[in-house]
Parts: sequence; structure tokens; C-alpha cells
Amino acid sequence: MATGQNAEFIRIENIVKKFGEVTAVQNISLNIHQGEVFCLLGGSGSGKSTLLRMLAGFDAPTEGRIIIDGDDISGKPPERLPVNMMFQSYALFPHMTVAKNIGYGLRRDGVSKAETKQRVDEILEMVKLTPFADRKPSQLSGGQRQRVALARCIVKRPKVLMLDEPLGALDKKLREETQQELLKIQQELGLTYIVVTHDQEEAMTMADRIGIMNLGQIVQVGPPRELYEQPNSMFIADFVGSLNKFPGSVLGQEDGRTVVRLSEDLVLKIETPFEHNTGEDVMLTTRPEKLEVFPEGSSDQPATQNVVSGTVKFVGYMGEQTNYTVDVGGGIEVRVAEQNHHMSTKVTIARGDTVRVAWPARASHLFAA
Amino acid sequence: MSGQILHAIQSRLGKTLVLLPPYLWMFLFFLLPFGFVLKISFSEAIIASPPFAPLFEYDPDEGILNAVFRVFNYQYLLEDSLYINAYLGSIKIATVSTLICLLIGYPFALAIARAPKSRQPLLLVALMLPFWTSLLIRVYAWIGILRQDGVLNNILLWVGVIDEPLILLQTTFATYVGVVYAYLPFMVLPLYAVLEKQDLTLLEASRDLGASPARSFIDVTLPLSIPGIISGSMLVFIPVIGEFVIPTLLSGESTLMIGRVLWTEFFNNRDWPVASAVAIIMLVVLIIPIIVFQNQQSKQGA
Repeated sequence: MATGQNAEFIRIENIVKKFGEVTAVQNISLNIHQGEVFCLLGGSGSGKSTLLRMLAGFDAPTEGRIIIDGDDISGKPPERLPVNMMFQSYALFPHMTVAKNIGYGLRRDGVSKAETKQRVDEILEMVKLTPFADRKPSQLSGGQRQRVALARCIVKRPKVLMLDEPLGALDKKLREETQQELLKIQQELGLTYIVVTHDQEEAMTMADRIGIMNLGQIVQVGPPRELYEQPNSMFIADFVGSLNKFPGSVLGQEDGRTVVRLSEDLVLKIETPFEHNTGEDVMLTTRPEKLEVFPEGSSDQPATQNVVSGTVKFVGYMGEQTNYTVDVGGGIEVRVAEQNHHMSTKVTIARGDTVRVAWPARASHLFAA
Repeated sequence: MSGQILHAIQSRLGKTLVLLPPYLWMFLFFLLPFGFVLKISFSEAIIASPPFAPLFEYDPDEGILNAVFRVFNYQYLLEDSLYINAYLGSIKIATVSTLICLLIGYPFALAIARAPKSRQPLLLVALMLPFWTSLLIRVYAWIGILRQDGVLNNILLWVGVIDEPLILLQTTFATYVGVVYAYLPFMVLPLYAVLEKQDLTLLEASRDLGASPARSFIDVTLPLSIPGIISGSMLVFIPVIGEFVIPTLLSGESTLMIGRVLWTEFFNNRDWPVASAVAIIMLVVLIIPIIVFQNQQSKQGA
């Protein structure tokens, strides 16, 4: 997606929001590009919904400014913002038909009846709801309601569309379909999306960039791959995806690699972009899918320096992947996830087997403990 | 197999037993008395005890049962303009009072429904507090307020708005005051129940789509509260039609309402058949709004 049109399309400047004594959002500054899908990801109470409500004009910031396309919107009521929101509950008007719901915003903007009808018909076609125009929301399925909620927003051609947990209420199969639908429409109309969610999978698959929020602050902003592969803190590493974490200490440097001791017998050589001092206590993190298990005595040889022996404590066959938990001694248990594309000897690994775990030098990150 | 049949019988019996008390209640205390009244309304007033002629007479000579239905009570009601005027007066007072209750009650209900959740029980108790005192006493209190040397006139004289006391008591105005005062909670409660349940995100959605706060109220809050408006209006309109105590105490002869006519026919004129006919027609008049009410209720359920 062309995200370069205007890198400062939305400028959030030093926004603070306090509710009485409680600070829900503390000093957030952020730029959102025109035409991108930006995702605010965070747990409940992280401040992501408060930030969204300020962007939509429902709450005024205590301090700071929000500028959308050159317009300072802070303190303006929601009806005067070029922003529309797709609510988590959809918030369709139960007493109006689908067509009336979609046309509502246009009528409020003073668009004539004839033009409203024409534009509503176009949008209905786009979201494939033409046969349902005269139904009430209560007569629709969850997915159809969601499309009405989307249509009701995009018919107004907003500069920014905000989506509050857009896939939250849908079942798994419908989620994927809807997600593609949402992105297709975003690209067709060149809209800027701000998605709020607590679901990292939803965020990773939809977003061009993600801002991860915690305790009212944005902890890291970046494309999904960057957040996953190069987390800037233990919090991000732990928040996104699953993770092995082991406390250890730095023994020194060797061939440009950092040598880390996790236990008496377990010493690993790690490639990391950051310098670590000898003797420093660190937290070593490794994603389960970066590791590989080999049965004892198998002809396959691990192509890495770090090879650790251990006993399989648990095998979880998930279909597309298999999860292993391997006890490598010294009270350390390593989780390994392997894609099941090998059709090789690995299917025979069972609980109690002795295995070798290949631990590539670039599979781990070190964080200050 | 026989166990199943037994079980089916038991379950049907159980259902019947559960439903029996309300049906029995309705039969004994509504349908049966209504039958009596209906019967009396087709009778003729006589000076006797009871003061009406029997409808059915057994003729022992012929060995047949004679039944005589006299419709002249109804005919009389239609011919004498007093009754029609009384019905119209009742309908007018009930309609106007309902509208006033709605105008005052809606902001009341909205304010309670939008108050912080923790404060709502207190506000509701305050609304219902007057019921702890008998209606009669509360209406008497209004006499003290409205009479010529009463509280209201004294305040108005003291402030200098008026030079001489207004005559408020024994006017139709006094009935409106009393009726609106007494029936306001019946309007507020159903409205509150509907407004309190309303999803406030809908208001945010309409604001988001470009509606001002006033426009949001007209487009969202108001139409979604129609069931409450109808329930509240029925709860005020129906009892006010037959209201007797308030107009009698506050307005006396100046206000003609059907409840007072009924009383006069029954106790002063001792014309039970005419009084019964008045009551039957009143019921017919009330059935119309009740049907509207029922329709609305079943639509809500659907």
C-alpha cells in the first residue's frame, strides 16, 4: 500500500488523558501515514480505547493536540470530524432498515435524498447487501451486520476510518474472510485505517504498522515483522507471539558472538546487535519455532554450533505443527515448535526420547535482566 | 410406555395447576362481577332491594323462563347530553393530563436513566416516596395549597405577581394539577425502564455519523423509547378516565367527569341499571387504548 503520500496525515502530539486521578494516556506522540492500516495493540487498560475515543472526538484530551490532515481536531465534537468509527458492537440503529442505517450519515451531512439513495445503492452492492436493503439489523447475521456497520462508515468517504476490535465478534472462519474484505475496501478507496485490538493475530495480519500500548504509553511502533523479530524490550518480545525465556549471565565475547551461560552445563553463543558486558545478568529469549529437534542418532546433522541434548517431556501434535517440550537439564525446559512439512523421522519422536536441540546463534535476543 | 403416558399426564396436570390460580382469580374478581354489572345494565330500576328488576322470571304456570333485556338504559345515555358530555370531558381531561405528564415525565425519566448508576436507586425511591402516603391525604394537601387563602396564593401575593387571590380550587385547573401530580410516577417509571436499557453507543454512533446532540435525541433516543411512551401514557390515561376522588375534591361541580356521574347515579339516584350502563360504556371506551397497548406489547415481544 502506498503509505508515502503523507507521512504526517495524522499527528498526535503529546497527548495526555486523565480521568480524575487516573492517567489513562500519558504523553503519546505518533504520526500515522495517509493510506496505511495502523493498528493500536494492547491489553485491556492499556489506553488504546481512550486514544481511539479521542481520535473520534468522543473525549477531549487533557493535554496535547491531534491534527488530522492539517486540522487541529482537539475539542471538536464528533459530528464535525472527518473521521468515522466502526464500533465493536456495530451500534446499528435497530429501528432503521439497512438502507436507512447506511444513508443516515449522508442525510445528516445534508446530502439530497436522491444522491443518498444512489450512493447507498452503490455501497450496498460493494458490500454485497443489496438484497437486504429493507431488512432490520435484527434480521441479519453477525457478518452481515458487520458489513452494514462498515458500509455506514465508508459511504461518508471519511478521511480516517477507525475500527474498534473489528473481528472480535466473528467466528474464526468468518474472521479471515472479513479481514480480507476490509483490506480490499481499504485499498480500493485509499482509506486510512486505525484498528484497535487486543488480538495480536488480528493486528499482525491486518496492519502495515503496529503501535503496541502498555500502561497508557506506546512501547514500540513498527511493521509486524520488526516487532516480532526485533522487539525493543522484554515486554514486546513477551507480548507478541510465544517465547522461551531463561535468565543467564554473560561470560564474554567469542568470534563476535556473546557467550551466555544459562546453567552449569548449558552455554550458548548468541549473535546480537547489542554489546553486553561480561558478568552482566541477562534474560535470553528464543521463539519456539526458531529451534529444531533431532532424534538421537539421526543422520541429519544440525547446522549450528549450539547443540543441546535433552529428554522430550511433552509432544503436542497440532496438525500443521508439533510442539515439543525438551528438558535440557539444570531445571531448564525448552519449548520447540516445528512445522510438519518434513514427513521425516521426526514423526517418531515421542515422550521420553533423547533428542538434540539445534539452537542457531541468531535465534535469540538478550535483554537486561 | 405407560410410564411415559403417566409422565405426560402429570406434566399437563402440573401446567394446569400452575395456570389455574390466575384464571380463577380473573374469573372470580373480574369476569363474574362484570357479568353482574352487564346483567344489571339491561335491567330496570325499581324501588326495592336490590333496586333493579330481575332479568329472568320463571313463569310456573307456563313452565317457561322469561328473559327480558331492556336496552333503554343505553338509549337514555345516548339521548341525554349530560352523559356524552361527561364521557367527552373525561376523555379530554385524561388526554391533556397524559400529554402534560409526558412532557414533564420524559425529562424526569431521562435524567434518572442517565444519572450515575449508583445514584439511580435513590432517585427512584424519591419518585415513589409519595406512594407511602394515602392518595386522599395528598389530594387534601393540594386543597391547602390551592385554596383562596392557601399557600400558593399567599406566595404569589407576597411576591407581588397578583393583587388579589386567584380562584384555583373548584376549577378544572385544580383537577389537572391533582391528576398530573398523582399520576406522574406512572409515566416516569415505564419511560425510565426503556431509557435505562438504551445502548448509549447508538448515540455515539449517530454523533459520529454527523448528528448534533439534539438531532441524536430525535433520531435515536426518542424513537427507541416509544414503547415506554405508550406504556406510560396508557398507565395514566386509563385510570384518569374513571378518576373520581381528585375531581370531586378539587373541582367539585365545575368539572364533569364520568366517574362522578357514575357515583351520582349509583348512590344519589340509586339507579343501578343506568350506573351499570355508564360503567359498561366506560369499559368499551377504555378497550380501544388497551387494545393499542396490547398490540404494542406483543410487537415488542416479537
